[in-house]
Amino acid sequence: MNCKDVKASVDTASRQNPIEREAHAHLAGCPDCRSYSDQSSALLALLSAQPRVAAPADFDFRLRARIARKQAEPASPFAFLENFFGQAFSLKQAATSLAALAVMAAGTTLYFTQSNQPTQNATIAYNQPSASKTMETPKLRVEAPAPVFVGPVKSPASVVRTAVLANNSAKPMMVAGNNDTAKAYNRQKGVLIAANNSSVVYGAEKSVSATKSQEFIPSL
Amino acid sequence: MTTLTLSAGLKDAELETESPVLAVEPSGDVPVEKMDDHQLLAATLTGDEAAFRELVRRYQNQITNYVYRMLNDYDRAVDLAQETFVRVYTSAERYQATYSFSTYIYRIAHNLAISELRQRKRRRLIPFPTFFSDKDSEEIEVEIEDKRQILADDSMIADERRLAVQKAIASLPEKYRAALVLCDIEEKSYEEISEVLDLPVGTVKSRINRARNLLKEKLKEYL
Repeated sequence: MNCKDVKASVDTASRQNPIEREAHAHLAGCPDCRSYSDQSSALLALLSAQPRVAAPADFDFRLRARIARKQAEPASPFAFLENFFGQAFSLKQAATSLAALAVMAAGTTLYFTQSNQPTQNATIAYNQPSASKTMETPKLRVEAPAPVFVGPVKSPASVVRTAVLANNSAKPMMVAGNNDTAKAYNRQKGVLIAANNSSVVYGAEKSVSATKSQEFIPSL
Repeated sequence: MTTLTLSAGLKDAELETESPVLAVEPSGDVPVEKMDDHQLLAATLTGDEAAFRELVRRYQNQITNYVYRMLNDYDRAVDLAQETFVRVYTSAERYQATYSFSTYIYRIAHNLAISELRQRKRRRLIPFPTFFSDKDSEEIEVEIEDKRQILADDSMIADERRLAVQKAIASLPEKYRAALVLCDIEEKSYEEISEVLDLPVGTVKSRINRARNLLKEKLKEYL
């Protein structure tokens, strides 16, 4: 055995597993390994010299009282829950499960939010074709109710809002929800404008595609 | 013989409620002192209080000592030792005889001790020896004064040495401490420790070696 093997043997030695005989032979002729072995033996001697604590004299009496108390107490109606969570999950597992639930909830919310936005092929009706081209994402706030809404509401999803553009000019806007029809009155032309599925009507705005980029369309 | 696993009362272990129960027949006229552990537990299942008392008598000191070495808190150690026996008693029908009863009860005690240590960590009610615990390694440095020259009395020196060893053990990270205490204080074999801690034997040996090296550093003045 070389020094490495002997030290490994010393490391794994215990009362149950004494040092191998071959290691003893090596130790006799190797001061370095003998010193290592002596130090380990001294440590084991210190540990085994530790006094053992004993249970108190009334251990059995107290134990029986404790068992009797436990058997006498009624089972909590939530005991099965405590049992389930206490034994089925560790703290890490519970945290992971909560995180997964949060991600799922966020994903579901995002999905439904996206699906409620106007589609690419939605129709845009307008009453001022000469409106400027700069329709991109004006800053607006939404106020209710809309002054020009005259159409019957077939579904609660039909909502009319007044969009206030960046230049503070209030413009009526109507948004028809899925599967319903709403109408808006065009003062200049004196006609009713019908809006179908996912149509958006702006009081004095240029027609643009009702895409997701129309961030100014308020959420219904 | 049924195929059974350690389960009763183990908070962190999975319970197998559908496992077959202990298949050891209680020995009718054999005095409880001569029954082995499995027979005692089987007798306990039939309502033999004397059998359970004998089990308690056999293991109360060992379990109390082990939990004490893990927690360094005698009152709490006694409390958890009692809880260990309560779980053995109330879950006796789920005891599974694949391992020895000794392994089984040590494992319950170990899990309770680990739960207690974790609760203390959460509550920050850690007693002095582990109060300065490092967040990652849980290892603390305990300054052990060499008072051997001041204390002339041999018994006082021995007491001082024992106290130093006790503090040094308590300062070990819990995973090393458990392996070391089971091996070098409780004198369990590597295989038993492996079953109690639910670890491969190689890991157990490695942890024990690591624990000893840490102790050598802390106790070098006494070696």
